[in-house]
Order: sequence, then structure tokens, then C-alpha cells
Amino acid sequence: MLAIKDVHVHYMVGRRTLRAVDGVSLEIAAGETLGIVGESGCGKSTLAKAALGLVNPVQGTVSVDGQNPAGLSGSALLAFRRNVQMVFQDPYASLSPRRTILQSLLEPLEVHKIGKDRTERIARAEAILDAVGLDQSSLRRYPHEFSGGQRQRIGIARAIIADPKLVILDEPVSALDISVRAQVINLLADIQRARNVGYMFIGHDLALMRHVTDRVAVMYLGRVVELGTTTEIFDNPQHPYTRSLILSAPNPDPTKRSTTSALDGDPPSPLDIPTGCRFQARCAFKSERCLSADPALIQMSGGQQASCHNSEKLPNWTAD
Amino acid sequence: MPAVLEIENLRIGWIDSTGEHVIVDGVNMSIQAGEILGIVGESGSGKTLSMLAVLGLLPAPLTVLSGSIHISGSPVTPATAAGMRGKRAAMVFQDPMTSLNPVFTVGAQIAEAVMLHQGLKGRASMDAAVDALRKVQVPDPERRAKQYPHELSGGMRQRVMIAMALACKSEVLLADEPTTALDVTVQAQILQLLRQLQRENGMAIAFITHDLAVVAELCDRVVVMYGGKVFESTDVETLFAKPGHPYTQALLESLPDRAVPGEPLISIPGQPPTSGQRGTGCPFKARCRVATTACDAPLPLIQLGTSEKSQLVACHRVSEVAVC
Repeated sequence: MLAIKDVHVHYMVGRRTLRAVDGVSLEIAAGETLGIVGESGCGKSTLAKAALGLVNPVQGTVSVDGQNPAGLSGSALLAFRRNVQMVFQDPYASLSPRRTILQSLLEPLEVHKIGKDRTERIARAEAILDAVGLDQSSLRRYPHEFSGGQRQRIGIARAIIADPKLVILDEPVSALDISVRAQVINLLADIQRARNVGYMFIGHDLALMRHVTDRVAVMYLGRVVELGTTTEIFDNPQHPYTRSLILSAPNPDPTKRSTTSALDGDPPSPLDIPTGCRFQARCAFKSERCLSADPALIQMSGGQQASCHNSEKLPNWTAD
Repeated sequence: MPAVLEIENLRIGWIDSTGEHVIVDGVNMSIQAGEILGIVGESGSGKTLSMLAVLGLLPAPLTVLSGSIHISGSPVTPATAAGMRGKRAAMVFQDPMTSLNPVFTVGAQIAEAVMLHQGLKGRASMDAAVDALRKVQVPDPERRAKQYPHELSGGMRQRVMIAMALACKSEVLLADEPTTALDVTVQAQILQLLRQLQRENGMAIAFITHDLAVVAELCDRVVVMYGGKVFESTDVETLFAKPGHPYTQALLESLPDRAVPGEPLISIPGQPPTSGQRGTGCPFKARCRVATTACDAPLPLIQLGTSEKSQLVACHRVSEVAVC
């Protein structure tokens, strides 16, 4: 359904080129959740913008159900945008404080000319509010009258009201109180089951990603370095960076404390991409070849794809 | 030997013509030298206000209504707080960019604190700053000291804040979600650094967080707060193995790590209360699966376990939940 093919998105910073996304290919099927993980600067937000048609790739294509936003304008572009919606991290910043919830929910319907009149649109807003577990009295209230968890439910309602095929979830529960996160995660799963919508789930909480995703793409400096099913990625990671990420994640069990930090240094700047393998400066398994040759994403025996010259030589993975 | 930080029956709120409005209600906690205490709570639980009270930095009209705070035996009062802040107790905030001045080099900012609190002058204060940066494992500290905050990464800036506390020889470090804004890889480095400082310098650390996994990785003891009250206070192993309060139990059950693959997460209904919605008795009762009418009464404090591994739980129904 969503097909991203060899996408490159570059930004100009002064006279230098920032290669935010540098050759990424991904697909998301209807009803599927693809997780995107990686440190800040790895290009995951830029990839989301490309999927939304908000930035144009300098190379490669993005298409949803065969439609590519790059060649579209006017009403055709509008129709494309109806198919891809987004839920933001901070639900307060993404709802207009001056509009009632009803006004915020009606806007996508009016823009996309869904429903034959206002009565029908209001009925649709009432139905969607019910689907996200809020009562009808919410329609006439303003965002400040709701808690963070309720506001995120409204953000989800607005994203799905125009029946998109793909929803991009950018850290949808990171800003919520811990006691309401599970509710919102369960709600997203219910919506996906009921509507067969595809999710691109951007996140950094690996335990959560393991629970909510079907497949995972691990990104580093603008590239996907490992791509596979959630089980393949977490049970038998084949890229040293994926392993470092999993080992860095804190474990909610005080009897299993990690004694060493898994990865030294900060993520390098995408303005200054190293030669050879992008990860070599921080990699514990690098060899001579990694300094000069950029590894391609290739099929591993475990089932997933990974880009590492030395994946055959990595020690066997044990989760603890 | 007195605890480095001792908070007894702390109540925070404001007073107007209608009387007292209590936001933080009866907080007790203590931290020994070389100990890391985790303070877990959601927004509005009172965890940050309790720490701001230690520094005498409560935003008006909030004030300490009653109770006491001591740092190594010396009372913290409105008159003494300013003299102790930065020197005996230092704080590290979530976003170091808002704590650092963008127009001075980080070395100069650490040196300024050293001059103020340690009485060192000129060159000696800058040497102390570079030395502190080295201790928090900033690579090439001489060069980094001459850089401005915007030239450093988020993790490096957070190390600078910790270096400032170290250079001033603060007895207690109050860390308010210092790793929430960082990447998970950099978070792991900062947690390791804090553990090392605790071991080598005997620093007492209060680590405020909402992330239970970070608590499990880092802390020795834990205080769980909700709706302005301390719900549970125990050592970290007991908290994760045998949580005493229904709120703590529900939080642990809702973690994705404990979920059955393919099944929904075990969620807690409702929302955390705002300070105006708490009502009487237990602030969690509306969301609690074992609440009864008894929960309208003021919270008891019940001790479970032995005296060495004591577990204090503020719940009327603790006998119901202790069995599961």
C-alpha cells in the first residue's frame, strides 16, 4: 500500500548538503504496523514527511496505492493527502486552542468534501468520538478542558475521521502520563483492527515497539540498517547498531542491570557522514573493509535484511 | 550519621481567604550518602514541587505549609535556602539548554559557580571546571570548556550540568528527568555516569522520573507519588518483585515488557486527577480496582516486611492486594 523506493531527501544548510534520508526503501501493507527506530538525526521524521508528501525527495518515489504525490497538484494532491494522516507526539500543540473539538473534527471532512451536509458531518464526528472512547459532550468543549490522554484520543479521532489508508504515529504516547499510555496503545490497536489501516509507528521505547509493531526498520544516519519482522529484529538482531540499541534500553527488572553502556559517543551529524560504513566510528566489530566500503542492505540467514560486512562474524545473540 | 536529605511531613500549597489549599500532602523521604533514591510519579503527583521546596524555589503563591527539610542536619528554611542552593544541593533539569546561559562558555559557567560556592578565584576556578568536566567523562575537557552550550550535544550539556554540581561539591544532586529528552543510547551513558559518581564520590542523588525501567536500572530505593501523596516507599528489588500499592501494581502490569504478545496491554482506566479533583481520602480510588467506601478516609501508612527491608504503603486495602 505505502511503497517508498530508494528515497533520498536532502536539505541545504548554508552551502552544505544535509542528507537526511539517503536511499531508503520500505513498504507498509494495509492493516500492518511498521516501526521506525533510531537516534535523533537518523532521518525518521524526514521519512515521515516524505510519506505525507510534505517534502519532495531529490531521488526515488513515495506512493500510496500506486499514487505518487510528487507529480500531483490541486485536487489530486488533496486526494492523496486524505489517504495519509498523522498523529503527533504532543497533542496539545497539534490542536487549535481556539476551536471546539467539533470544529477541529469537521475541518478534515470539509476540506475533503466528505458527507453531503453539515448534519451528516456532525453525525460522523459523533461516531468517531465514540470510537475513540470520548463522550458526545466533548464536541462542544475546547482542548484545554481535556487531559493529555484525552487530547491524544482527539488527535487520533481527527487523524482517522477522513478514513486514511496510512496513519503516521510519531511517538504517540511519549508525552502522556504513564498510567494512561496503555489505554491509548490499546485504542490504536482496536482502530487498526476495525479499519485495516496501516501504521508507521515512530518511537524510541523499544519494549513498546516490540509489543505494537509487526515489522521494524532500524535507521542510522539516513539509512535503514536492519529491516525485518519484530521477532527477527528483537530475537536475533544481525546489525551491531540494532544490538547496541536493544542493550541500551533500560530493563524494568532491577535484578538484570546492565553494567556497561552499550554504545559510546553521540550519534554523528548527518552533515558529516563518515566514509565506508556509516556506523564504523561507534562499532565494536569493525574491520578494515568497513572504513572504505559502504555495506548494502542484504538478506540475512535469520530472515531479515541488514547492512553489515561482518554480520556473519557477530557473536551469537543472547537477550540477557 | 544524619541522612543527607531528610524530608518530613512536607505539605506544600497556598493560602487565601478561603483557607489552605494543599497540593503536596505529607511527603516523607530520606536519602543517605551514596544512595540513589528514585521518585516516581506522573505530572501533578508533586514530585517536582517537593524537590523545588528543597531548593527554596517554589513558584509563588505556593509555599511550604508545614513539615521540615534538612540537608545533613541543617534545616532548609526560606532564610537559609538561598545559601544552600547550588552549594549543598544542586539540581539538574530535563532540558539543559534552558539551564545554561547561551552567551557564556560552559567552562565559564561552571567556574562562576565554583567562585561563588567554593571561593576559588580566576585561573583556579577554571581549572576546577575543566577537572569537573573530565570527571563526568567529557572528552577533551580543555577544549569543551571553551565552547558554548549550542556547540554541545544534549548528552554533553547534561554532563555539564552534572559537572557543575560536582565542582561545587554538592552533597545532594536533585535530578529532574535528566534523561527524558535524550536518546536511549545516551541515556544509558548518563545513567552509568550517575552510578559511578554515587560510588566514587558518595553523592546522594534524588532521581525524579516517570520511567520505571530507568528506576530499575539505576535506583537503590524508590518513592512512588500520586496526587500529591507518597503511595509507596521501599527498596527497588521489593518494588518490582512485590509492589504493595494497587497503583504501583497496576503501573507495573501495564508495562509492555510484561504484556502477552498479541494481547492488549493491561490498562488503568481514567486519568490522573488534577489538584482540584482529588476529593477526600485516596486520590487513586476512582481508578483503583480494589477501592471501597473505606478509601474516602484519610490514608493510613502501613509497614510491610521486616525492619531491614521495610516497605511503607499508603493504602486502606493493602491486606487485599498483598496476597496477589
